[in-house]
Amino acid sequence: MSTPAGQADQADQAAQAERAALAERAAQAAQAERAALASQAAEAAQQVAAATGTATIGSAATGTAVSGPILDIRDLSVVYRTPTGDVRAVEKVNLSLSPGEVIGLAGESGSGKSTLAYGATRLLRPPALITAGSVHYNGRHLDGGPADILRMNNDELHKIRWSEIAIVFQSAMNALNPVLRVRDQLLDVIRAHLRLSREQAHDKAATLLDLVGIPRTRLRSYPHELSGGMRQRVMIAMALAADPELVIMDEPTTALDVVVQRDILAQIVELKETLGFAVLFITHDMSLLLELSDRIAVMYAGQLLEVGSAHDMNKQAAHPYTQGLLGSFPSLRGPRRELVGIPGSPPDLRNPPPGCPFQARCRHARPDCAEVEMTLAPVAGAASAAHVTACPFVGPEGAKA
Amino acid sequence: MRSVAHTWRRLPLKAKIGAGLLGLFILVAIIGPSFTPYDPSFQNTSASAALRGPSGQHLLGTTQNGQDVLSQLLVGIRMTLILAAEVGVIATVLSVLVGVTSAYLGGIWDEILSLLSNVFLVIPSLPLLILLLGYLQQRGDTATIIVLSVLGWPWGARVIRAQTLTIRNRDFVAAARETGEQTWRIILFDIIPNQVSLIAANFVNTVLYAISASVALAFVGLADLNSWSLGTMLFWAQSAQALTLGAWWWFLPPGIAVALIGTSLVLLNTGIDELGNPRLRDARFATKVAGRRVWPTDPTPVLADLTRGKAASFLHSFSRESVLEETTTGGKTR
Amino acid sequence: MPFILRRLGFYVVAAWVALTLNFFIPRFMPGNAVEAIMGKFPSLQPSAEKAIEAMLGTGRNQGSLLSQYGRYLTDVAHFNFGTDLTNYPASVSSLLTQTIPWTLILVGTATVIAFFLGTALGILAGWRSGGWLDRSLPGLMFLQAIPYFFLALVLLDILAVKAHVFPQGQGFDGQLVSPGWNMPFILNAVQHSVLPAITIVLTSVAGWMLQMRNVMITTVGEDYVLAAQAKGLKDRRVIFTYAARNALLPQLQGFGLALGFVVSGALVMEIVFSYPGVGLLLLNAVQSDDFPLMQAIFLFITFAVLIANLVVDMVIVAFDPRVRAKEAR
Repeated sequence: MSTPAGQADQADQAAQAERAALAERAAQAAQAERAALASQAAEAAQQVAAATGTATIGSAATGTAVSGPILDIRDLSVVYRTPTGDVRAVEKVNLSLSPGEVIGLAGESGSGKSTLAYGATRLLRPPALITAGSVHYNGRHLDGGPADILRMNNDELHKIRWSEIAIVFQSAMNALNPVLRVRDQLLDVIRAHLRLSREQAHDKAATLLDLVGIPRTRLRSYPHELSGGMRQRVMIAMALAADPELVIMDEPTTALDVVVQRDILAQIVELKETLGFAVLFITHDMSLLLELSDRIAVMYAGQLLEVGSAHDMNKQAAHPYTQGLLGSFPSLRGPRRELVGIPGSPPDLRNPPPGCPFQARCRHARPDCAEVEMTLAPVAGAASAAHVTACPFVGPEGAKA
Repeated sequence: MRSVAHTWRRLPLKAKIGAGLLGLFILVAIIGPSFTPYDPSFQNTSASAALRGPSGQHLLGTTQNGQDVLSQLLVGIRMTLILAAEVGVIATVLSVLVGVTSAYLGGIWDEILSLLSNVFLVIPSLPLLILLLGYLQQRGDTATIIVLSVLGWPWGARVIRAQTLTIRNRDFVAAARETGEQTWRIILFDIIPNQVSLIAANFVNTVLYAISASVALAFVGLADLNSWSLGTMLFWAQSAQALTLGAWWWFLPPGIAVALIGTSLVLLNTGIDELGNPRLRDARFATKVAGRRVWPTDPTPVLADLTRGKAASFLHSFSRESVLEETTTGGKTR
Repeated sequence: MPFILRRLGFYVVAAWVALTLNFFIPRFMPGNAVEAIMGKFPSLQPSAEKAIEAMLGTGRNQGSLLSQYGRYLTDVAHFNFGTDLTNYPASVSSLLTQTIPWTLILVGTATVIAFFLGTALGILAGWRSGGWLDRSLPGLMFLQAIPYFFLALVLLDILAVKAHVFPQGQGFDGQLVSPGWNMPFILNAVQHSVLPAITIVLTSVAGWMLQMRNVMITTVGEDYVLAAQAKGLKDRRVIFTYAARNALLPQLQGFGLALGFVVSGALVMEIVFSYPGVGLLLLNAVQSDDFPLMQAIFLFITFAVLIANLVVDMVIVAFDPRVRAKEAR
C-alpha cells in the first residue's frame, strides 16, 4: 500500500533535491546565474507561445491590445433547485477582471465563491440553474468583441474552454483521470485546442512539464505515481497548455502541506509574470490573497460584501465581515495578532433574510440592516474609488459611521 | 413509525411501485389460499374438465388432470414467498453474523472468514445446489431452505463486513469501547442499527436469489413435486408439454408471477440503492428545469434560455406540470 | 506479490474447496445413494454395487478417508471421473468432452455479447440519466426477472413452433448434416444457437445495464469528468476515455462475480432447447440419479467459472494502472 506513494514521495524528494541543488548553484553564481534561470523559464514560455502560434505577450504591466475587462460578470444569480426550495447560492454578483490581473475571491466554505466561478463558466451540474445576469468574455483569441458566455451554445463553449479560460482544480488527485498517463492527459488538451503535428504535440507536452519543473520522464507516469505537489504542478501545466487568457484557481494549494504550498504559489506567480494570464484565485485564506492578488473580493452567503485592492483590504478593510475574516487568519508578515473568529453561522440560503445577509453575525448590526440594498458603493472616505462595499454604514477600518 | 413514513416519502417512484407490487403479492399469499375456488390437487380427468381454457368456472382454466390453475397459483405464490422469506431471514442472519464477526475479530479470523465468503461467492451456486439436493434423498422444502440458506450468505457477509469496518472506526463506537461497553452491546446497539438499510438491501437480494434458485430447482425436478409452488407448477406444465398443447393458461401465470415478484424486488432494491448513494439520488430529480430536460453533463442551463419561446416549450407551457414549475421559479418554499 | 499471482492463488484455493466439497458430499449426505442407484437401474448386476460403492466412497473396505481423498485427487487430475451409470460402459469424461464445446461456445459467446451490449447501453443511460433509455430500465428489469427457462419456452413456442423463424431446439439437425468441421454443419449449428443466445442476452442484458448505469452516474460526478469538460474536450472523448473507462473497472469486477449465476441460469435454459450441452447432461444426470456425472459437471462448471474469473482479472490489470501499481507490494 505504502510503496507507490512512497515511490512518488521519493521521486518528489529527488525533484526537490534537484531544484535545491539548482538553487544552491544559483546562489553561488549570484545575480548572473539567476538571470540565466529566469531567461530559461522565459525561453520555455517563448516556446509554449511559439508552439501555439501566438505572439508572446508581455507581463500584465505592459498591457495588451485588448482594452477593458476580459471577464465582466454582471448581476449573476445562480440557484440550486432542491425539492425543498431554491438555494440561492450566488445572488446578483458583479465582478470584472482586467487582463493580467490577479483577483482573489475570498469567503468561508459555502459562501458561493466556487459556484460563482463555475457558474460563470457554465460548468455547474444540475440542480444548478443560472437565473439571471450576463458574463461577457473578451479575450484576444476572440474576434468580434465581447461575447456573453451565458448565451453561448455547446460548440462556442467548447472553443473558449481551456484555450481562453482554464481551471486548476482544488484536488489534483481527483481532477486527473486515474487511468490515463500524464502525457495522454496533456495531449488530450493539446489536440483539442492546438493544431500541431504528432511530434510537435509531444514536444509541447514535454515543454509544459519543463515549465513547472517536473522531469520529462514523468510523462509516462500515472497520477497515482506522483506526489500531491507534483500532481498539482501537472494540473497547472495542463491549465497552461493552450495559453489561456484567464486561469481560475480553485483552492489550488489547500490540500497540500505548507512547504509544497509555498513552492507552488511561487511558481504560479512566476508563470503569471512570464505568460501574462489573469488569475481568479479562490480561497478561504485571506493572508494568502493579501500577498498574491492585485484585488480582493469578499463573498458571503452568495453575495459580494467588499471589493478593493489588496493594499486597501489589508490596511482599511471596511466591512465587518472582511475584518472578521482578516482576524481569523494569522498574517504571515507584520505583527502578531490575536486571532478572532466570527461567531455564528451563515443564513439559510433557501430563505435568506432581507437586507444584509451578515446582519445576524455582525458586531455592528442595527435595525436598518434589514433594509440595505446589497449594491457595492465606494467606501466613505476611502483613498480609492475602486474600494467598494455593500455596507452603507461603514468607513475604512476604525472610522465607523 | 414517523421515520417509516419519512423514509417512504423519500423513496423514488420506482421503489414505491416495487413495494406496492410486492405488497400485492404478499397480500395474495396471506389471504389468497383461503379464497381458492377448488382444492389445487383435486383431479377431474373427465374429458370435459381436463385442459380447458379460462371460463367462468375456472378463471385460469384447468391442467391436464383437471386441476384448477387459479387455485394452484394462489397456493403456489404463498409457498414460494414463504420459502424465499425463510431463506432470506436465515441467510441474512448468517451474513450479519459472519460479516460482523469477521470485521470485529480481525486478524486471522477475518482472513479465514473473508476467504471463505469469497470462495463461496465465486463457486457457481446452482450446480452445487443441484448436487446437494441430488444426494438428499428426501426432497422437501426444509432441505431446499437449508441448502439455499447455506449457499446464500457470502455476498451479504462481504458487504456487511466492509460496512462494519468503517463503522467500527467511527468516533461514537470508539467512545463506547473506551467506556468499557461490552462488545455484544456495541454490536447490537451501535453497529447493527447503523447498517439497517444495507441489511435490508441484502435481505431483498437474498429473497430474489431464493426465488429464482428455488424455481429453477423445481423446474429440473429437485423439489417436493407433490406440493404446489410456482416452480412445481412450471415443472408439471412443462412435463405435460403445456405450451405445445396450446395450454398457455397453465404455463404463463406461474412464470409471469415469478417475473413480477422478481421485478418488484429489483425495483425495491434500486430504490434502497438510491437512498444510500447521493449521486444516484440527485440524478433522479433535477433533470427537468422549467419544463425543459437538462442533461447532467450539459453546460449549466440559463433560465432565460430555457423559457425563451421555442415551439416545444410553447406547447409544454400548457401542461399542468410546467404551470407548477413555472410559477415556482423561486422554488416551493415552505 | 503481483496482483495476478495473488488472484491465481485465490482461485487455486477456491478450486481446492470445490474439489473437497465434491469429495465429502457423497460421503456425508444422509440417505443411501448406492441403494437408490441400484433401485433405479435394475439392469445393473449385483456385482456393480461394489463398484458404485467404491466410486461414491460409501463402502466399508475403502481404506482411510485420507487415502480415499488422495486417490480421488489423483483421479480428478487425470480427468478420470469414473464410469457413467446411465450410458453404462461410457466414461463420464467422454460424455463431458462431447457436451462441453456446445455449452462453452453458446453460453460463452452469448454472455460476452450480453455484457458488452448491457455495458454500452448502461454508458448511454448513465450519461443521459433521466433520458428515454434510462426510463426504459424498469421494463428491462422485468425481462431480467423472468426465469431464463421460462422466457426460453415462450420464445421457443412463439418463434419456433408457431412462426417457424427458428429451428425447434436441438444443437443441429441430425437429418440434414452430420457433426464435423464442415461448413453446412457449422451454419446449421449457428442457426440452432441463435434463439438460445437471444434468450441469454435478453434476460441478462438488463442486469449489466443497470449496474453500468449506476457506476456511470457515480463516475460522471467525479472531478476528472468535470475537468475533462472544462478542458473543452469533445463529448465522445469525455464519455468514453474519462467517464466510461473508469466506470468499466467496477463493472468488470461485477462481471466476474455474477458469472457463476448467469452461467447457471443459461444451463437450465439449455434444457428447454434440448441443446446438447452440459446443462442438458446435468438434467439427465439429476433425473436418473447419476451421481458421478453430476459431480463431474459441478467440477467442470466451477473450473470454467474460475478460469473465466482469472481472465477477467487479467483484463482488469490491463485496464487499471492502480491495480498494476499494487503489484509492487
